[in-house]
Amino acid sequence: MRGSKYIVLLLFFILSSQIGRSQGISQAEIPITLRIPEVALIDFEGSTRLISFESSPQQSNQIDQIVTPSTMDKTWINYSSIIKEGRTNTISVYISSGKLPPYTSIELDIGGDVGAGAGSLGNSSAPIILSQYPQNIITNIGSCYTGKGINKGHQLSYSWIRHDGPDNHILTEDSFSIVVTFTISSTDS
Amino acid sequence: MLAVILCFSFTEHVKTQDYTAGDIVTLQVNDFSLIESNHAPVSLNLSATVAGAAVTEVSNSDMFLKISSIVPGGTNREITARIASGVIPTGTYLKLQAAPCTTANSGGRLGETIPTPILLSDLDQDLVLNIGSCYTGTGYNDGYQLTFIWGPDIPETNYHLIEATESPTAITVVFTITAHDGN
Repeated sequence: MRGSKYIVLLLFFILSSQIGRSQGISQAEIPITLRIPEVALIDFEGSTRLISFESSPQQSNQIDQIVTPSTMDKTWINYSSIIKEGRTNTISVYISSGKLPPYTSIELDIGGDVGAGAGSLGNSSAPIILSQYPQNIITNIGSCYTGKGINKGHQLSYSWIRHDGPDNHILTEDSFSIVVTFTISSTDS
Repeated sequence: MLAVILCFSFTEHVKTQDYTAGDIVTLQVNDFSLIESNHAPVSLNLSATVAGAAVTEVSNSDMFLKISSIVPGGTNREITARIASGVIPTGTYLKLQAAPCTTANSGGRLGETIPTPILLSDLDQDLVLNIGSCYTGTGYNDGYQLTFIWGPDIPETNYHLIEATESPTAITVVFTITAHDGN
């Protein structure tokens, strides 16, 4: 009788130690949420005559620049862009205020990205003659950034073109100014 | 106390008859482990606010991992982490770092955390090593503070792969406290 009691006890301990081995909760799962909103930001560097404003607290997708005869090639355009799948951003420009002197036009030459940033940077268009209608100057912008500052992004060069006319108007430095508006926008909007 | 009383009673009767009585008192501590988080929501947003700038690395340190562990002498456990579901958005990395266990309500051999952030993947990677018998405390801010770090991965070559999310990306990270290494 006594011997069998010890055997039962021994069995109990062996069993309980086996059960103990698998005791506990060995895993914890946690959820993480990741979000990437679209980004379309544009700004100037280098030109002393500029006005910028933010269309919303998060997005600065439109800026104005006052262009005078002395603006020349002092402006660098910087942008940041994050796109949704299958879309691209485009930068366009138009004369939003001011009037050009008679027999005068402004040509805008858009340099290529100088490579200070990374990602899928935009393609510069051929030189354009500024008008009151928006024209695309940088297209096919993917997710990218140009870097911020002068010598980063695309260089803008303004040239004032005088056409032959009855009034031989003489352009002087800052004798007049116009406002051009740059907008970065998505292909779907 | 009981033993002392028993001893006294034995000595009183020792002259008359020599009785011995006893029971086997067994104290057993099973090895076990428990793991849980404080269920803090971890939500990260990758964005840029300055024209020309890249999206910047963001982090969240709200999550704490709590454990209780009993091990047989001389053995250790580890805490490992892996991504159990969800895919990290292309062009980005998700890193994780654990801080040493908080001291307010903890005790025992709490192990050592890996000092540099680990790059999370589908494979289990060590986060805390050499955990013995210990407890972290049960409060909201007790345990190993976890910092999740999310950022653009090698922008020079991969930035163009980043896409805005139509809907938030859900990732599940699983933490495992391993069986002790005496098994």
